[in-house]
Amino acid sequence: MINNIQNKAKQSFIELGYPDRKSEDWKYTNTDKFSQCIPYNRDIPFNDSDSFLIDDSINIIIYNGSVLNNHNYKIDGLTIIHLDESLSKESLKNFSKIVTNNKNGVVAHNTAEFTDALHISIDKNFDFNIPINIIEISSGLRDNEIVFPRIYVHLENSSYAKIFIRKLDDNSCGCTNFLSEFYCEDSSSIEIVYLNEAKNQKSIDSLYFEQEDNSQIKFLSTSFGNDLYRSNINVDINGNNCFNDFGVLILGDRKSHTDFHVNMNHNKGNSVSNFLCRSMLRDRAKGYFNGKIFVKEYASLTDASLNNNNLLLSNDSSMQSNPQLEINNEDVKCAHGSTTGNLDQDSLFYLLSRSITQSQAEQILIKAFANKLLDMHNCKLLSIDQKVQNWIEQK
Amino acid sequence: MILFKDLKVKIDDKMIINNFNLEVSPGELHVIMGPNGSGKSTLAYTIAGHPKYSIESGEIIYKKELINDMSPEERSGNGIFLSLQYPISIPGVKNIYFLKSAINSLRKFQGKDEIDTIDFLKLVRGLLPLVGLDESFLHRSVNDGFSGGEKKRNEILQMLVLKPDLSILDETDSGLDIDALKIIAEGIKNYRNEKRSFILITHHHRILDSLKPDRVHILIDGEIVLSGGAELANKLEKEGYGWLRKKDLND
Repeated sequence: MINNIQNKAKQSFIELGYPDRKSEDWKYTNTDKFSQCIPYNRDIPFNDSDSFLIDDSINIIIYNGSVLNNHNYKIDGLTIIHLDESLSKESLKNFSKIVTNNKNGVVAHNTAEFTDALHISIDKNFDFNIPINIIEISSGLRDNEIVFPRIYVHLENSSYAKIFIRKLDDNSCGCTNFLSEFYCEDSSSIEIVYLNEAKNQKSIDSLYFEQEDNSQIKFLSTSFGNDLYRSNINVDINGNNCFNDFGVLILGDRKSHTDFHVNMNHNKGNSVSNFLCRSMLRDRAKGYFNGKIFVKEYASLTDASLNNNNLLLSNDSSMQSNPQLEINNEDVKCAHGSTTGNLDQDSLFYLLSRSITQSQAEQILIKAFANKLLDMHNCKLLSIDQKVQNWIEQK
Repeated sequence: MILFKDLKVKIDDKMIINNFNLEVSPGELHVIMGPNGSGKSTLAYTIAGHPKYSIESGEIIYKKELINDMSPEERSGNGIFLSLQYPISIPGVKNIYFLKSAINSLRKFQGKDEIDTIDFLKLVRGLLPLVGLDESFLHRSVNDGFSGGEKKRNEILQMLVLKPDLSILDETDSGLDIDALKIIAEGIKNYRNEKRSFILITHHHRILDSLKPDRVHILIDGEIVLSGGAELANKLEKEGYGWLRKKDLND
């Protein structure tokens, strides 16, 4: 079964290749490096696993695209398996059905080349309260090597899960083409906290979400000054009365390049979506945000918002922001907006007039800007709050 | 405490304060009244050191030191406090963190150690009832979603925490209901002593009934055109500012 999927994807990738900068959606991000890389197929042993683990969680390490420690197991409410040839069509569920291999070269490349994939499934009516902590590490990669981590998460009816995904690298370069699919059945609910600390990597993430009736998603992504980072987030709301709340926090520094593309597709009505992207850029960091709310003609009573706020902390940092709406139904509430600027001078004065020093006042205001997102999501286990504070103080 | 000599202040190339002269001694409470646009808030911001307001000429001498070029944080460290007419909201910064950062920065400026957390909480909890706020306000973002009255009370709370020598209160009594006005006035009254000075900017005589000012000054076109006692505020309440046109005064 997997072989069939991969063979088809290989053919698609040969036809499609990586998108180039002539494509409107990719005009800011150069994918040449990804095209030129060869799939990693060496075997570098991994020894240091303990330092990334979180207590009272289910810890899973994906190392250079492979799931470590043979994580095939089932406990009450949860199934974790590798995806391999032995899986039946039934156990694969909607794997690779959410993504479209034949239209998207990035996705096709991952599907064609992944050597291992993690499949997580939560049983129906099961509140899985133990956090699932996925650590995705790239290490020892040569400059011309690429890895293809892949995750599929399936929530059955009325189930709940909380998933952390932490992406790390060592000082090596190389590329990552990461793909994850989240399928939310009726009345299921998922919280995802994604932390990208792979600063030296060039990476493209493709995150696909599909929601059925009454399902809920809370998602927070935080990325720290990645050399080249492109994230594609695609949400298909295919049910009624769904809710989602997406937050993206970009902390750009040095010459980092961060490019977020978002498609929020309201395919059915009565659902609420909130997408907020906030970036803080310093040094010569560059940021890009392209987001679109798409409301289909029969998606009445949609309530959707898409906002992008950017804080430029240096003269050489820059941001391109383009939130869009495409609405094909008159009975909806949709909002989009974008702001880009420096720290508010009146707020700064207010703090200074209370004895607070210039540098501390600036740090307080930068942190306040990030807190809007951090306060909305429970991300204590990954210490994101402290990492953001450290980033601010490193200035 | 503070002396203004022939002060001229500009904002965006427009002169707002002209030949402003005033001396406020320790323990005194001076009131500045004046029609809208007369330069009252400009004066307040200038004393606190807002960078938008540039001193064209003249001097501000505070505690015998020229402070024209002193930064806002240094002025605050030296005991100057400005209660804003429109307090700024800072979503994402909890009031308690803001107050603790402020008091610790002040203590650092004064060469003191940081305040112990328990002592800080004891201090703030003791002050909250004086301004009619409950503890939940400490855990909300600074002025975010506060009513007008709550913002003003929060300003007075900050004054009580930072214990300034010179407090400039810019329309702290505006937009308050009778009970809130009483609380604010009591807060200021209790804080007053022979060493602490106040410059109170207001449009209303009500707050002056309980505060008993030493002097009332009327500012028009950035200049004090008349000074007197509390009775001046009562006269303004009855007659407005019309009779105070410079021409009439000169006549």
